[in-house]
Amino acid sequence: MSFKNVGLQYLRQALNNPEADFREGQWEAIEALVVRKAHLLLVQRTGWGKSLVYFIATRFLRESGHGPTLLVSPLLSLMRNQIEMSSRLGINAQTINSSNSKDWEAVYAQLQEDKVDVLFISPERFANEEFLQRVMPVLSKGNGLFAVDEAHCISDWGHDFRPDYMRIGRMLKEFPTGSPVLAVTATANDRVVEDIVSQIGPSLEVIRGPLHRDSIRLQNIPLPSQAERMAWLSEMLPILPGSGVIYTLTVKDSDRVANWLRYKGHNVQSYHAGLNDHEADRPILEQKLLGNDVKALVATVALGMGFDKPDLGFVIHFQRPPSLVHYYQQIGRAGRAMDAAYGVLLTGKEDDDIADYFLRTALPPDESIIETLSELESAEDGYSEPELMNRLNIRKSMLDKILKVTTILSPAPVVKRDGRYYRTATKWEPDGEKFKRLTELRLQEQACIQRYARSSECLMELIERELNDPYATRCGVCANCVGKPLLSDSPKKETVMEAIEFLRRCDDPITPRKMWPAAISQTHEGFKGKISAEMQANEGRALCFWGDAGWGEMVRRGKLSDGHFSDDLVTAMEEMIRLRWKPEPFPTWITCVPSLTKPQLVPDFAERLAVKLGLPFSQCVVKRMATDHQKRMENSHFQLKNVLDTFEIATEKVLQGPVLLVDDMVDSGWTFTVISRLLRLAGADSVLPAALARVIGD
Amino acid sequence: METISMDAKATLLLVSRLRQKDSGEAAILTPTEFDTLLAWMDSHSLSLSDLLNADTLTSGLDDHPEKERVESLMSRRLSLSAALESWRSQAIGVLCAKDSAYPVKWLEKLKRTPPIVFYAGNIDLRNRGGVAIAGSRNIDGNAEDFTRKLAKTCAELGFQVISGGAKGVDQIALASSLENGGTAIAVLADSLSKVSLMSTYREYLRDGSLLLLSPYDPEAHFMVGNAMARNKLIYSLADFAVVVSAETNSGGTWAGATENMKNGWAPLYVRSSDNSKAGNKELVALGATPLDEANAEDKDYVYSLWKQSALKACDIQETHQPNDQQILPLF
Ligand SMILES: [Zn+2]
Repeated sequence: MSFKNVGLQYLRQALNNPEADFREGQWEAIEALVVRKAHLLLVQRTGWGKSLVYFIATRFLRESGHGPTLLVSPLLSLMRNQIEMSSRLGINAQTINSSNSKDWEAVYAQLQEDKVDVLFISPERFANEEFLQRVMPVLSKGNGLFAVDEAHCISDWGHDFRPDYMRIGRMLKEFPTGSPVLAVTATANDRVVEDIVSQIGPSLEVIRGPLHRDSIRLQNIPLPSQAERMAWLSEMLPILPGSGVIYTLTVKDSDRVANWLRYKGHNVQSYHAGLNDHEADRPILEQKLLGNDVKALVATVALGMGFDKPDLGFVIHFQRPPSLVHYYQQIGRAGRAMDAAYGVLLTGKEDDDIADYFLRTALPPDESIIETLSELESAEDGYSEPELMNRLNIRKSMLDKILKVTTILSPAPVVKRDGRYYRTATKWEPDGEKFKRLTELRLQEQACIQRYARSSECLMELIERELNDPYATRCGVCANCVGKPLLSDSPKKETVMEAIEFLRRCDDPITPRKMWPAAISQTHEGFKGKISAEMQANEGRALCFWGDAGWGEMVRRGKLSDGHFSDDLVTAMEEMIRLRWKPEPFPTWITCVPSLTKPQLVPDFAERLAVKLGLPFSQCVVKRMATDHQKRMENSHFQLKNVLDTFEIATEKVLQGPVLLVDDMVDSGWTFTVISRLLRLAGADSVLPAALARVIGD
Repeated sequence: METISMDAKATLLLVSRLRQKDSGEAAILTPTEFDTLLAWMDSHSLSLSDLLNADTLTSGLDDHPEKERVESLMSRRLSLSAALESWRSQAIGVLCAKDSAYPVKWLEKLKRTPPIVFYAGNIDLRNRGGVAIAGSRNIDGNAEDFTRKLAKTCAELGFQVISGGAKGVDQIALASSLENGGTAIAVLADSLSKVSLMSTYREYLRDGSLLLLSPYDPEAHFMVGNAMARNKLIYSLADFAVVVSAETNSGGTWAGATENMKNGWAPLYVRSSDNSKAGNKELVALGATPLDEANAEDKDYVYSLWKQSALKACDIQETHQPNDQQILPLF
């Protein structure tokens, strides 16, 4: 049998289909890897069958005595069809990542016995010493295939640059010829392809196929308020085919939209990185979607690349993604094995704000990097991350980014060693030019997807052109080609009203702080370790999120333009307390957080609330000096230092019984924590914090 | 950081654990085995980089007795690229004996040279010569004082200081030279990664006045054998050497100094004073030249030592042409 016929037999075996034939380019890629040990970059649409290429290539390579295939992928778990495909081919595929640490020993053992044929790993494994020590020597034997999924992440021009992929790019560059390398992506325009080739070197051959997906029907619907979009989703879900994904930009929105849809009786779940505490839940949710056990997952980008469900019926965007390439990547998963699937882009009035926020926080500002480096420069023996936190006024999420970016550069200005960060001799200077070019590029990408959202041309063709697809053509099935909406573009008024009501009931618990940050004890004696139960606040509540479509807009207006919170908010707060929160013990009196800048705003509101609740009001908390705005205090240590010295209690004004402590906004929660402690010291037997709005940073 | 040559990559695959505890089924080649393989390849018209090519590797080694072992070592491509990635990010360079940046004096003076050398800092210092300063870890105040003064004098004369980078004499000599504007080389027996992160060396690595060299894996721990074996790498880089204190018949200083006298790598001077150790006197008895402790700050005197050794070197190696990369102090 000819070599290609053996390959064809494997293909049919893998697909469990005796009639199957290679798609254009598949066999050529397999042959190049197996025979020439080529270095390949494949740009092929989702569903083209790139897994077949690395599985069949692995089968051939293993037969001729090569070592196992290493596949770098950001996915947390293997997709069911990958598992089925590999088992039909007689290939043992295993994965090692942060979510399956309990399986690692078993995988190591199989690797030792050379029983693993394909090992999937996440890109950050290469920074892990245990992985390097235990897995690399085994994997390294016998010139196996080195494959990289979602290779567009290597380019910082890409829409989805991930620092850990920089390391992969450099490793590929050092990879000697004579060992097969396969990089694959479904979303890379010319600029990204050129960048990858320039990083890895001219030995990389590029194979590019058409990106067109005939089964996806595209439509754009502008619906400014969240309530309208929530109403639309609730009305359309039953009409949409099969099960699908609803993408939101933030974790809070993912939870809220999912809650709303469940409230309306839909079978949906939220999926985001905030579920990290139970990371094992994410694969379970993915399995539910794969098995059509949910109508939809309401997900952030955490439901990511490589998620592979051939019968995904729809991908709806609740908000506008940052670029058309992101958009294509996310809708590209829909409808591969279906005649018709929907890709609907809903756009809202918050889109620009969120886009700006992501743009501002995507890269750490140079000043923060400089500050971090100079702190490390002065360290005798490096610093751990908590030690750095104590010394820097930088939010933890930002410090994480700074440490990631500075340690991933090569040579690196910062090196991590045994859990401590060290400044190296390598100089670092801000690359202002590059920063500017990247920011400009991101703005162009935003403008491009804004144009897409308003376009009257064929939507699929527009996307394909943006991705430099040489085969771009009119799709004939999108709302613009058809000339009328595919799905209704205006939800019923009643449903919208119901969504507004729902949002108005979306109050958010305020979890009391239980620990003082480590650094505080250095400046404030007695503030060390656990906050004793007698000094803690009880759990509190925030009425809404700042600026949201429920009460948030009204709170914003009250604070920023009217200088007065309306009676509607008083009623809303009273209802929240009496009907939904129902705190135990119930407060017997009310006080509030004072402010020097707007001395009447909060006391006036708290007094009216007291009247409404029929409780006495006593302004016993006094502010000693002006504080910097909490929002400018980047990390919790500095926020706390700022408020610790600010307040005191007029003891004679403290009344008997549990007290409701009212403020307009809650951010870090330190103001509530500090005042609660003072009130408890002054004799209050429990303190219940209540805020009008929660401010969200990320 | 320069790119790492194909020869260096091939050499690493053969002789380095590549940051790992072991190299898998096949043991890495010892320096002797490496030399033997090189000689064998020479006689079969194969070059090191031929081993990186899968075809020449298979066909070329056909009648080599350890073909499988070599193939197994050479297959560690993934470990190699991960190790190179790690070293590069720490600004650690790698050289093999064929690279032009490999220290010339080792090739000239030593019978067997390390197949691989790792470095951090300014590699241009490697061929500059200088004064090797050696001594034990635990020294008294006088010895410490002498070391500091001598290194300072060297710095002021533009003589580079070369030491082993260990605690005691080594580190005092390095610090004193660097603090006084001199340049220095430390040839480390272990922990290059860790030492390159030390806050005391950072600014000197940055401004180009310090070079850290090590023939051992940058993550290697201290081993007495390695410390002994690197003595010759220190002496052979130097124009002359000064022993601050040595114990008779024991310790690295004694071993290094006597080995040096036997092989004539660098003219040897020994600190002499009323309270210097018996070992110092023994070294003089064996033929080393005494250096009066009081002369450590005497520039003319130290300069004259350099001049004598430079002349002696010319006598011994008349045929040797001065290397164009060699920067002669003062002239
Ligand atoms: Zn169309």
